[in-house]
Amino acid sequence: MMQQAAWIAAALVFAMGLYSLCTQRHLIRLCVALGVMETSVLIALAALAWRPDAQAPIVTGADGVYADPLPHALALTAIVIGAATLSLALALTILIFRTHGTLDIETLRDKGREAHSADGSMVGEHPL
Amino acid sequence: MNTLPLWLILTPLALALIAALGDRAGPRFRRALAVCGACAVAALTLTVVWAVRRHGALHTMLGGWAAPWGIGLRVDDFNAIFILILGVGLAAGMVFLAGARAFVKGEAPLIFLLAAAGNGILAAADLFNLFVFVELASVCSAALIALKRQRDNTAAGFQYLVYGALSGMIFLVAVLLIYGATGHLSMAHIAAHIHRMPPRLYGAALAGIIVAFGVKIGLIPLHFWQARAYAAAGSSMAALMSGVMMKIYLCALLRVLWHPLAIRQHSAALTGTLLALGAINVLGGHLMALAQRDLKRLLAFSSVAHVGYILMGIGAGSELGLVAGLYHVVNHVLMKTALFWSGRAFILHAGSADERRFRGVASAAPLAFAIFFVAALTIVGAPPTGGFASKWLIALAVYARHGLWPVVVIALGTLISLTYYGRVFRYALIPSADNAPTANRSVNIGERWPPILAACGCLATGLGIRWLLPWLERAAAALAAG
Repeated sequence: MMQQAAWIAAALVFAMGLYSLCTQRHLIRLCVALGVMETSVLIALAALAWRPDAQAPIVTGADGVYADPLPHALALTAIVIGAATLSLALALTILIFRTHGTLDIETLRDKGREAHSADGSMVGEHPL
Repeated sequence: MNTLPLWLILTPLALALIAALGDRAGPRFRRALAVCGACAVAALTLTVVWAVRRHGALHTMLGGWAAPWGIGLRVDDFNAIFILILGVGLAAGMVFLAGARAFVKGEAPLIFLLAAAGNGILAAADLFNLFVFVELASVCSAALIALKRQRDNTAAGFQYLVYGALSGMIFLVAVLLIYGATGHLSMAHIAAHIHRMPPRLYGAALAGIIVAFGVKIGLIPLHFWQARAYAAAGSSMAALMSGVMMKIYLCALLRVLWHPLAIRQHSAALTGTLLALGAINVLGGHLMALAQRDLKRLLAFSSVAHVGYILMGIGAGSELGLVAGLYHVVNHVLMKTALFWSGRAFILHAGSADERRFRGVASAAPLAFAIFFVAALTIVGAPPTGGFASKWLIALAVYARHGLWPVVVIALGTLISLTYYGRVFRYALIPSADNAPTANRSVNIGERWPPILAACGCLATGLGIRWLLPWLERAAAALAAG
């Protein structure tokens, strides 16, 4: 029951993140969407580790069921990786704002197209 | 236990730190450090490949813990090929970069970090470390794309980072499903328990892994970051990203599909799916390349098409197909790096990457034109070159299992690529209209030799097929054996 609730929550949060990643136009909102999706994976990892009536996986010698420690270790690593990715994304956002003066992906795409057609080459792709 | 595979990761990692400190020193010191470091990594790579050749697969158990608990690294005949590609490609790329232009601050450390991540991806024997190294590689690649800070770089870097993060998350979810069902992360242990996984979960994990790596290798429709990223990263970096890094993700995909997920035992329809994906990539990639006028974008879409050839070979579902796919991997490394590097001379002479401004570059840069010509012949698939032999073998392999339609796809793709490479030649061969003195750029030794060697390699893989094939056959056998 507990576990299923956590799975459903993870799926919902993932869907929310993915939805905003697909629909938002502002770069910082895209960064937030990435963070939200990262969190959903962490929830899923916690759900995976859950056992009924289990204790935290710190061996004290007492008998009993422990939660699976491995997903916890994975979650810690995933948090670190997520932080690194997000900080680079935010740093790039700052650079984009400095060079292009906007954070709206539609405007950025148009500017990219202009730059391309000024070059004489074919039109650019969708930026995101 | 053998610690050599560990050094494959530690050495570039240490070099990245040293190069980061060295960035404070002058440009000549930076350059020397980068080239010597890359050559050291290449030498180490050769040692590892030699050791695998002599003693068989190398295993490292970190901290002395065996597989179900500990972290393992493994180099066998299959990933040794890709480790060799990475090591030699890194050294050649670094020499070319050092000859071609000054290093941007932070560039050499990031390239070493990318090499460490690449070796980690290749050698990791468990899925979670694979995930960690893939993420490290995608952060490094995004930073490298954004590094030059010119017109489109930051936006292209951001786009790559978002796609990289998305693909990483999908991969992590797939790993999580596999762990939940089998209770293992080590590839060997998953392979032993994968039959316990319910079919629907298995399908979801399989789809997740194909999508996650599909973003990295440029499977249509997940390819669209590629052209922009390569155009922004510059020819010298694009050669490394398309020639080398893409192969590393491909190796990881194949290892995960074959070994932990055991797609061969599961269903022949799955290899058929790979074949279909490959065919879509061949046609789509070539058609999109046909529409490009920008040389770097054209080469990027050609990469998309050639991933398709490789997947078609693998998707043939036979030993021959796998060998042919690997053969095409080796050829594509050589021809794509040669094309990007010699194309750089065209772009510099013309002052633009637009092929319509390439008038007169053939006479202005005859050496680069000759290299481009050889590499283009290889990539189109003209007889004496390796490109012909590998395409021929792929066609034979798919014909044996799936009949005529994949062969028609390969033939069509070849025709289209002949059209657009011919178009580049036509522009390059027109003598320049104005007799403007084409400033003869001096080409230094570092800039000159890596493209020449790559072009010679294109010919050598075709002429030396007799010596190359047994090696690839052993690699294919190692992949099948797991």
